[in-house]
Amino acid sequence: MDPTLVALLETDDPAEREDLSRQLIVEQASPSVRQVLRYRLRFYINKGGTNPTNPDAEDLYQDIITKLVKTLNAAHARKENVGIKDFRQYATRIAINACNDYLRLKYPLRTRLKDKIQDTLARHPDFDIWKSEQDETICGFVAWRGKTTAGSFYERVKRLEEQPELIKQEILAGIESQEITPARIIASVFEWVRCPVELESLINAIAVFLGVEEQQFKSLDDDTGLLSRVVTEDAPEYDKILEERAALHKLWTEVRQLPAKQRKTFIFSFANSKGEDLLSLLFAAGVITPSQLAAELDLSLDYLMVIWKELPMRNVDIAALLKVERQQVNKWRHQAIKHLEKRFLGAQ
Amino acid sequence: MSDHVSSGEMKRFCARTLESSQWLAVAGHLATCAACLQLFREIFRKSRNYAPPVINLTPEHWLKNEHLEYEDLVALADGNLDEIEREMVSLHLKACGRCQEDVASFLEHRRQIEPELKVRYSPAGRRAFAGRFLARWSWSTVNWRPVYSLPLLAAACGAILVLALFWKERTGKRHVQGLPSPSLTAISPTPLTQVSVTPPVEQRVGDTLVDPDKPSRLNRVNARETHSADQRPHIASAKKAFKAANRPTGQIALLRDGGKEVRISKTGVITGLGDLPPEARHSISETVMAGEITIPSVADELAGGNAGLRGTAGNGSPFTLLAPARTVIAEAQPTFKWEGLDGATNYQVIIADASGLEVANSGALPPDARSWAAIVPLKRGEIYSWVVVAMVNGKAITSPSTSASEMKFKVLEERKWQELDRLKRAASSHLALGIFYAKAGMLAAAEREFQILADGNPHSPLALKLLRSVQPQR
Repeated sequence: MDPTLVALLETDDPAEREDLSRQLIVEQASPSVRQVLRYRLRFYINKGGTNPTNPDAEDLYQDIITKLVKTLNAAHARKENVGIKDFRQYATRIAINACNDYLRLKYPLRTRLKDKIQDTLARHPDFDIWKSEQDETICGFVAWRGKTTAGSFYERVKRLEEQPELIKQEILAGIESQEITPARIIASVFEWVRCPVELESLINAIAVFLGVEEQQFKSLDDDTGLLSRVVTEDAPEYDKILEERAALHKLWTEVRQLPAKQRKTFIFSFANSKGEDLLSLLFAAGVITPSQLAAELDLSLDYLMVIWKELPMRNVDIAALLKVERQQVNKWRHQAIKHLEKRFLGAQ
Repeated sequence: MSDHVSSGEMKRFCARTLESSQWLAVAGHLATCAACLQLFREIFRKSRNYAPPVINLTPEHWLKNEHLEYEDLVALADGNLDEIEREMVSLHLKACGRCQEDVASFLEHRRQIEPELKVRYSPAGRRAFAGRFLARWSWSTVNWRPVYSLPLLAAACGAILVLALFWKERTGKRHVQGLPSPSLTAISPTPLTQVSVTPPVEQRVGDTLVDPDKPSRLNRVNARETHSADQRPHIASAKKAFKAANRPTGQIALLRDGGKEVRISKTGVITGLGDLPPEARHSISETVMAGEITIPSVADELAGGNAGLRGTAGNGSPFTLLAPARTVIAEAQPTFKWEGLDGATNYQVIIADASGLEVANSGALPPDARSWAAIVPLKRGEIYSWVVVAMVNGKAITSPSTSASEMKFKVLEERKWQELDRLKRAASSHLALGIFYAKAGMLAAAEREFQILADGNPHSPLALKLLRSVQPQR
């Protein structure tokens, strides 16, 4: 494991801890993160971590760094490396995931295309998709699995990444339009490149070829409006205003009775309409104290404070914390909500 | 942190604008200092103007931001969602138009890509050419896996061998033609007169010495070849007559089906239907030999009952639900259709499983809606019931009403659905499809197929009998 990370876990001196965190972030994580953003999204971030002309780039960079800092804080609080052997590699993976999330949110049509290409690669018997040692998603013919980009073909890969319109000009030139199926396009790219390519590069090239243009992104607020209309019409019974302490006490009584994993998932993901987390509400109402809650959840007080700072958490972060799949966390939370909805209404 | 927290610092703590390590320090202090904890309570509540917290415990609210990822789409398309996951997806899709489009787009992609999975590609490109070549021909959809292709290859080799032997025989026979007929000179007895006997002419076919008197296959072949041209048409008609005379008299059906002539013998052998799957052949011969179709009991199960989905409307159904109506359906994402109700401001389609648990809900649909397609695939093999709730003058009117029987349907089981898919690919046979549909409880579809069969075979008692067997059940 990284010696700087080891030192961070072992020290109790706040000043030394801050210094070691800064070392890890500035010297190891930041260069990797900036490289990933530049390569995947063409986002340029200077050494100060800013980009005055692209607020999206700056926001994304800051989000990634913030996540890495939280991870270091959590690791220190738990006195364990939370599964990190190489911090630089970990930072690269976090940055790649953040880029994928960004693309998904910002470019839904591209995401839809990516899902279809991934599915084709996974299901066609002659194609395959796998992870490289750097945790990048690579694809190619099934016979190429596990092989890296050959040096002699690296130029072709670069050309494809820098000039995705090559598909139209060279790769699929002379082929009848009715023969241009998704699988055919993918196979033609592979035959032209002659080595495995990164999935994102393939998608970029195919998106340009197919002319995938993002439409005006429909705000989720529109969907929320519909939902709230439905909720208002259909669910006045359980959208009641709670008398603060007594009602929160009742809620906490029901939450305590949930199975352990459902309870943690509900608590960590809870957010009301103002974005307030459950711990803040419970502490503010005097329903429970931090020490009592730490004991209830079988956590150290320090670690509970670290978690409190991160609330409300996304399900994917809870999954990482509990070391399970995101979908499992979704199910636990859903089961908890259904149970509370029934129980809370019964208790009212 | 040994000093107490100031008010200003606590405000920044509540607003989460303190630097990370400082925030953690304050939080840690709160855990051990009752006075600072009390300060936190006051400032936190004050920051909310002392308004009580509002908490929404509806699952829809909690799921609204849980957009479907790639893995979710794959699981949905593969039918691998468990009950809880299906419920979550259904609730989310009710409120998320973008994910609805994502699902529809992905499912459409799955439909379109199926034939492409059979076209093969390789890095060298050689098989790519073969794939393009094969893709032009309908028989490229034949499954070329070894278990199928090896027997085919063996059969092809055998056919070539037989043809070669036949050709060799024909070539040999041409040498035999033109030789004098074998004969024996009669011997007349004379006293002590010298008798001469003409020895039999030696005949050879190739290297084989043939005895013309010996009944051999070659001799018979040879004999046929020596017939004159005048005799051949008579021989041909004699052959036909011979074949007709020897045709098995145990044939119980002869039908024109899908442009082909289908024969079914008394022993259940079916000819003329091409490469039907074995289960289909068995089903057809069993049905035809029995002379009747066994309609499954699922029809009784779908006849209606009460599972508690309906509201408190009046007697009878205020408006009609059209489809799916008390039948088995092939598609797992059916389109629900209904007649409109005057004055309705919106409609809502609700689907429940056999235990009455809601499994899908369309949400509020516009007043001109008369159909809605299920977004989440329903589980195959399960029976569902459905209602439509129309809002008229603020009042919910449910169809079917409580006094009417439930509108149920069943989704065809996975195994049978795959069987149907194989059947449709193998042969365009109305007989085969009709029997399948009837046995699966899909009586309307069975009637459709048997009607076509009966129209093409107006004098066939079997075709008429099959048609009538599915009609009275509806």
